[in-house]
Amino acid sequence: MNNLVLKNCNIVNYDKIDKNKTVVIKNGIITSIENGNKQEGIDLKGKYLLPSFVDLHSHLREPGEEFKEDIFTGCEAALSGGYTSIVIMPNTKPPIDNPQSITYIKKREQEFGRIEIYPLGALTKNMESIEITEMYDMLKSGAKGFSDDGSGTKNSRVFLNALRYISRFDTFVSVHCEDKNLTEGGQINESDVSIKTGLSGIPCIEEDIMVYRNLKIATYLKTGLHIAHISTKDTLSLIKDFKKKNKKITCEVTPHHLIFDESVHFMYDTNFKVKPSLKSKTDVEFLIKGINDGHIDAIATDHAPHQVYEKEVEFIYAPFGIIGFETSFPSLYTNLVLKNKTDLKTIVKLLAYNPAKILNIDERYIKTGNVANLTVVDLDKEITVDRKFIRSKSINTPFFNKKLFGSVEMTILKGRIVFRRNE
Amino acid sequence: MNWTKKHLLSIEELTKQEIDFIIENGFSFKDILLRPIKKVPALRGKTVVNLFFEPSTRTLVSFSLAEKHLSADSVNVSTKTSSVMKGESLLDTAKNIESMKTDMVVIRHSSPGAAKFLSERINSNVINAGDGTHEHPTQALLDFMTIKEIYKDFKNLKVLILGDILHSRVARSLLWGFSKYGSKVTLCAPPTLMPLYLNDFDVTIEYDIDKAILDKDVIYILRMQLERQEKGLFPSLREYVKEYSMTYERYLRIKDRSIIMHPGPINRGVELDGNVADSEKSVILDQVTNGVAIRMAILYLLNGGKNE
Repeated sequence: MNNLVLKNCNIVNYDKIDKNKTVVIKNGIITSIENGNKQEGIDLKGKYLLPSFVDLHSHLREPGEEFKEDIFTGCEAALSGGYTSIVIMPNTKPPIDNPQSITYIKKREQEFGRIEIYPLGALTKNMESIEITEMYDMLKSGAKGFSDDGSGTKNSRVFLNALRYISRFDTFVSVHCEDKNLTEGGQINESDVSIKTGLSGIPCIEEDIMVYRNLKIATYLKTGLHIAHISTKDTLSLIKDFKKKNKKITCEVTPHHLIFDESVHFMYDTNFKVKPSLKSKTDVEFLIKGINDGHIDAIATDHAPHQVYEKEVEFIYAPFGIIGFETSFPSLYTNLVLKNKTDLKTIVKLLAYNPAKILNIDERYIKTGNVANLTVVDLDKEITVDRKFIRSKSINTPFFNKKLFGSVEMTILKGRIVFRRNE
Repeated sequence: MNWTKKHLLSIEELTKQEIDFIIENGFSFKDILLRPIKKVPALRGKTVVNLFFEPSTRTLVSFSLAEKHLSADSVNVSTKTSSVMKGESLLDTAKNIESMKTDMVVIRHSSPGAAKFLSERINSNVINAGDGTHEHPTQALLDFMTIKEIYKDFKNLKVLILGDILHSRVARSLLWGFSKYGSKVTLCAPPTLMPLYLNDFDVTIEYDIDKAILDKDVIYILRMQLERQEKGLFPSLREYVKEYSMTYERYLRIKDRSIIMHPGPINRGVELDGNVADSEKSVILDQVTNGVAIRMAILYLLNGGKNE
């Protein structure tokens, strides 16, 4: 069962690239890595073999908004993007804020059967920032951690209590940091771009103001905390400072915040409308520096599907959000690696090795003895991001109808091929 | 020069030559407007839809008259809201209207970019009659036409724009135009109604109205919206009037040859004193007349600049 031989591949780990190898998998475990191509097996013809990706941040919209996405379509999208493990956020309708809902998600995961879903439960009931949820019971039902993603826990006392209550377990708490009083009514980052486009501006300090509060509370309680989708230079430098005092602090950035700056809004394309808002060129440069120097731990998609008819409207009426599973690797490879802003090993570190470590799941490192969670990519192959390429129900990506290099060709979970791109 | 643009979406996208060309045509149409018989056949057989998603009297009537003077067939569609929550989307509305074989669409909408959105999705010529807080190009063009009747050269013309700059589409269109002409623009507003970022415009910011009004050739007063008070951007009308209104007392201190402008509708006693609006330096009603002429020019040029 789950035996596989992959030959003629280049292995990329976060710290090195080994060319021209054969990987032997037995019972879902990598049993040997050999030179040359003696064995019978799948000939990868020089493609690159990466540890499979782990997403710390996604929205599958089920239950409640299945017209945007459901767990099955979301999972197909994730697999086609090279992800075998995904964290899903609880801001569904209604929110995942009780053990029964977690049980439902885990049941759907089993029905799908080809991916690992790590659901987060809400920190507060109905994500209203008033009462904390049954977190212990949710953990027992299969929750990986907790988050009030999408809104953030507005009340500082409630957030402190929630974090304190769960602190006896070493769990993953992800925080969406947004000062709602400052963002209300805003469309894009406040800057010359917001003034010229007439789109109402959100002062960028709204993010680090809330990041500061949350880091302060976590450090006060000596607990870990994961800061979701950071977007500014100031947020990054705050995190850098706090990491010196609190080793358990981690953070993520999305591909779109590494690739686009606010100047794209002159086109009024609602596929760029996202929270946190896209920031200045300087912010983008600092975020890229952050992934290279290790201050940013992970790249997460924040896959946020919205239907075409929701996005094909006047800018101020369009919902915030961008999908990300399918384009994550190719967009990073095309826009960062091929432009020499980072290298392939760093991408592997932030898409696979680090997020797995943060979640404390199977190590994403290709070596003998490790679980065979793998992704095969063809770096030279150009793909077109069209309706056929996108497995998600929604197509709200700024890469739509664009061409990208770095095609995910195959995804392997525990030695089993769970996705293979057909031509 | 030959007109090449299909749509009129913003002043930003126009060159100085194009602005001058529209104004030049505006003056020709003003001659027609001043005749006893105002009708010309320039747009005969053409269909224009005035799609207004925000309440408007002046701009809608101005466009309607311009269309009628040019012999176009026009219909007005006025809806209060356009939101997916409340029924049909803007895109569906526009596609439906276009299926009725229209040639031009004039759109006023509360969302910045709404006119551009339409122009990318339908075949008709699109005219932006105000898109949220973005631009109001026909207003700025009629303003430039009005100024041209008094000042030949805009270079180094001293202009004051007074009032809620931050939320004003008129101010944005004026800023783009004046910066293309090389005029010297001063902005005056309480800091909460002033853009925080103006790096790409060469403007002077003067918070003190009593200094700002001195020595200006043009004083352009913006309409004050009372909802800004509810949002906490200024504390009371009383203080606003005291600190930022063009009172009659201030009017007496402006330059002799200065002109007072306002895009309308005016709030007497709020952003300007009623006596100022009616004063000899006020060209507010000339702006309204020129509005019809400039819109005739725009419709004419977008239609190809040909008769019939």
